[in-house]
Amino acid sequence: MADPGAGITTVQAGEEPPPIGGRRMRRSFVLTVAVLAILGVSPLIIEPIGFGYLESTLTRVAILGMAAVALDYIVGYGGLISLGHALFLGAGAYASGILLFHLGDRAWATDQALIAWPFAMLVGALLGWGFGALALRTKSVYFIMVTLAFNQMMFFLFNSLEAYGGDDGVRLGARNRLGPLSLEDDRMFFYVCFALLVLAVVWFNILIRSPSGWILRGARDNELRMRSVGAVTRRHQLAAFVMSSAFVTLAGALAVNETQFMSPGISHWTQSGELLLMLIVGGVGSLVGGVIGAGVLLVLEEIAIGYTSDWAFYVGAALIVIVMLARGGIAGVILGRHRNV
Amino acid sequence: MELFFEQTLNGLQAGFTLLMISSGLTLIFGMMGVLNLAHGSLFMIGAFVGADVLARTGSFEIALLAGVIGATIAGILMETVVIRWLYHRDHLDQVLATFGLVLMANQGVQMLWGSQPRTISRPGWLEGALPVLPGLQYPIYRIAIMVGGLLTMVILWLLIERTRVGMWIKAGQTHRELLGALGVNVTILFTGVFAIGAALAGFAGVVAAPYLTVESGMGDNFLILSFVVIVIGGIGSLKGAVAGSLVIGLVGAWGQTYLPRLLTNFTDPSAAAAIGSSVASASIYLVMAAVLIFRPEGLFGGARG
Amino acid sequence: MSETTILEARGLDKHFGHLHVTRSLDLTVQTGRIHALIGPNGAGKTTALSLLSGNLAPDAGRVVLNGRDITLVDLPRRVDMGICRSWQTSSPFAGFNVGENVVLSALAATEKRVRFFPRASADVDRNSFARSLLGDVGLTVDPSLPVIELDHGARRLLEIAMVLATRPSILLLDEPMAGLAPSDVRVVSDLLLGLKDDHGLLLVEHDMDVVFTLADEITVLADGAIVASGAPDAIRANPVVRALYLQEER
Repeated sequence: MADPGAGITTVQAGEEPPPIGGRRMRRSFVLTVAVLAILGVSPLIIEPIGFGYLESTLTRVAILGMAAVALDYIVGYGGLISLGHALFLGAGAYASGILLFHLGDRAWATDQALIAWPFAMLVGALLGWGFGALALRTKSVYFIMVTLAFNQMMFFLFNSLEAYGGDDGVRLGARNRLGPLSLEDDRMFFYVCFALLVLAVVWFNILIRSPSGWILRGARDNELRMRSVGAVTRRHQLAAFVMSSAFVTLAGALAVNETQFMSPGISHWTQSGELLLMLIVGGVGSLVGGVIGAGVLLVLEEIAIGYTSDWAFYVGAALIVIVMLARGGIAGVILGRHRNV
Repeated sequence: MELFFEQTLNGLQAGFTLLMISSGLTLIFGMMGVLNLAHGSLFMIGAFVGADVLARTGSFEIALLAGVIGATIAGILMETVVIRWLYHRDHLDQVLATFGLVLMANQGVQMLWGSQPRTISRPGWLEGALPVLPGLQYPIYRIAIMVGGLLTMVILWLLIERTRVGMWIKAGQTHRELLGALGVNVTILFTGVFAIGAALAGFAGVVAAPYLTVESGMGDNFLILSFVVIVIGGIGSLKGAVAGSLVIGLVGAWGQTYLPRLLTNFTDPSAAAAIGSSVASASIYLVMAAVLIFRPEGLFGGARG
Repeated sequence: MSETTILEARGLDKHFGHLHVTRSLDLTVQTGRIHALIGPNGAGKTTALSLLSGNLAPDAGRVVLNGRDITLVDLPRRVDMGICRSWQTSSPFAGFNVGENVVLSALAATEKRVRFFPRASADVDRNSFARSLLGDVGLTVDPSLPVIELDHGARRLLEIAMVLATRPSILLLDEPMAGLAPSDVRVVSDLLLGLKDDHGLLLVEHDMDVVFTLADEITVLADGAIVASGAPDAIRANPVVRALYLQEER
């Protein structure tokens, strides 16, 4: 991925990128490829080294990593801190899960991933449009409160769906079908999630370099300044929010496939906090940081469960230390920069 | 008519409980500019300490005192160890660090008291009901909550409007940099305000516990409702917190009763009950959405930064 | 000379709480003229400029562009109409390099719809436009330099380039000369004189030499109200203005 800092110095056709900014760009590209490559080969190497039990964890890394990347687009590049993105995980889980649940008893039900997943993204985009338009009427800390409130509202809504087990949720016992690929095979399902993650990383890298992405980033730096050169910033922020929502919803649809279990728990507000937590651990404003954060947290959690039942307590303590000391996250340390949200 | 009156009282009682949490939150936020996600944890800590002491002593009054003290100590610890260092940080840092506190608190109460839910029962002398209207008996305890909430708010109001400390607090809401110039020890003042907010939350935690289950995460929903209160009422003013809390309490209570009934006109009763309960829980958020559309700065808010 | 654009303030009033910062302000900015707004600190110069640019709404009065009432038109839409302001505090976008800051301004002024393709840096015309603007304002640094590495003077020049990038017909400049080296003041003065032919300029400025050299018309504000307005010679001779400035210096 090229760094966003490839500017007007690349005006002349055929001219090589300039050295300034170029090194950072190459490092960020190398880091992205390296992280994705490590995740991609991990399922093949964990078994021989005795960590075979982490296979489903890696699938969750790919899924929640995608959600974190999508969240980073608005948090890291837009400066819009959403504490409500778990609602989109829930929306994706219920949108695709309900289609699957009714297979055989409703005409509109389907187990086809090519219908269910885009449908989930559409639902997520529409919800993102509605909630985003409302939340963007406020700024900064109010934006956090409003997104959190909408998260809670949707959480209660999912809890009240008695037809789907209410707060207990419901077992689906199957995954979607994707053409000739057998998603019931865990290895295959991992690679499908992984491919979608790569797609998401590429797509959001395109967005941060797009005209709309530039305005989004400019508004993060100084919104009034951005408006004073003519940008209708809220429109671009809403577009970013919708994009982000759609991909988090896709992650939700994948998550319900992974567990084959549909329950409101996935949309609990602490899940929104954990997505942010992944961002800060991995590095805010670097896209691939979300994947790093998801990987570090989920794998550590899986390993730690064998030793302590109080994992969350130590994560909380570690989070406070990270906020106080290492503001750039892991990607920031590797890339030698600090975030400027 | 009795039903309407009863639901209105229920709504007011819920509103007063919420007010004890949101007033502290709005004071802290207005003064220090810190968004504290762990404010709901103080409510929970108050309830847990109260339940523990109640089990040991059998006295609700001692439990209430212990809950308030426990939450206050927890609050002072939070402020001095973590939150004090966040005043000049951006909102993302504040959200994440206080989210870390939430994780620690939610797990910490389980480490201390186990994962078994606990209960707090009403004190004996507040058992029973009073006739508030001909044909309507209303639980004394709920009335006591309202009276207690009202008294607390009056005391808080007097503290802010009539004392020197209150003057500093008000000055801090608008001109934080002025406090230092006045010779006020800002560090102690901030810790003090935080302790007041924590005490209020702990008080609410014990008092509301008879209607709740004392368990990990029990404060989260109250935290989020307090945010809704702040968005509706506007930041920094007690007036906004009062208005927002009562609106939320009443809308929640009325919605739960009347929305399912309204829906029976359109669909069969069981479906109406199912849909109604979800719509009712959404109704307070719809009020918030309406405020965002028509008055994004909140009912009593000034300009938002 | 291109067609004339006229921006007028008619009876603008603005309060901040109990402070009456703008009192029935009348002002005209038009193509071919440089209008300077001067006055002691706290006179309400920047507020006046903000009312014209649209990032503040007046309590009373109207802003009129070519006879059309634009009082209720917001900041971005006024840029579409050709009104662009600069800021007293140079605050370029920190996440972008020098060249990109100019490109971003040009892009913001033209990209009204959400577009994800092609890349923002791929528009060759826009890039060379930005590059030429950097030349016009006399900013000779490497365009790929991060903005945090610019010194104060260079930031002021970049600020003007960013305003010009929106292709405005009316420029509202808030202290463009503040902190510039004498050589840069000359560059910017020449630039502004060059712009005058087909632009209208409003200048809030403290440097009296600059004001009296450049301006065709000077308005003096004190306590939010106009004390005097007219040609530079008339202002120089005005006893009230003299008193105001002597008082300031004492």
